[in-house]
Amino acid sequence: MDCKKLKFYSSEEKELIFEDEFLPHIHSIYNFAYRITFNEDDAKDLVQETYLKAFRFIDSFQKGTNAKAWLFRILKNSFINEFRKRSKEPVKVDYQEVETYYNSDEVDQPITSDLRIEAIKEKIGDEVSVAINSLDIDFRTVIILCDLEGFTYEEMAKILDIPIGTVRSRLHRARNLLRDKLKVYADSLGYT
Amino acid sequence: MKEKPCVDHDYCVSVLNLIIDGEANELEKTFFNTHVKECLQCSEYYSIDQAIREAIRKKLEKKEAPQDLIHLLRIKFKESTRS
Repeated sequence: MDCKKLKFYSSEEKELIFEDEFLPHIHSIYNFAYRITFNEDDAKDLVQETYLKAFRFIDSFQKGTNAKAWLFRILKNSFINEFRKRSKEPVKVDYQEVETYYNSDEVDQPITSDLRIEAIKEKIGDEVSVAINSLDIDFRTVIILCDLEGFTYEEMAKILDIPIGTVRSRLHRARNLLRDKLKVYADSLGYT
Repeated sequence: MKEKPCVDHDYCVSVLNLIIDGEANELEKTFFNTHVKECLQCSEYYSIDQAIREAIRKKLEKKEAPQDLIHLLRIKFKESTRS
């Protein structure tokens, strides 16, 4: 937190910041916490820790600036500094969903080239979830921040404390991994 | 459209990522718009990446924060402003 930019808010101002700027992002924050912990209780703990830190350092937040990025940064730091150390839960990846699909009749259904894009959009959703969950945490994080939450490269660089060039290369690698993981599926649709 | 492999696919993919993320500059946009119309490999690559990104946005389940958590945070916030 940058002490040079401290602004001492009144209780009323703090309440407005909390209700109007922090709370509207609670679902995105919780979803991100869940996507990196794979556990609802852990996600709740992480979100609670994030907001408690936000309350504590609220005077270092500039009202009207990017609260969402600010909260995501706190969450990321909480996860790295404290939460990740105490979390003993191994990463859970549900491959059952993929296996069920590949053993079903749907796999062999013919598909015309005109429908390829629509088909991949329609069916790739289920596979995407499994593929993202199987990515390493650093790659999963950039995909969620960029593709799901719509952060810019600059915002992601600030949230993750890494240079923009690293954001780009990490995203590039993450997309390559995703594409590789989904390639078998895309092939089955006759797309590639 | 060319069916032969792209001559500099690594560069094209890096530009393609910038285009998809809305981070490309004018030069990169011009290059991409010209190239992708002529290159089958890049065109398909772009379509797949767009489909994946769209699926992430539209179909990945978004977990909502439980109401009891929101309620708890409001209480904690009140406590923090009183102290």
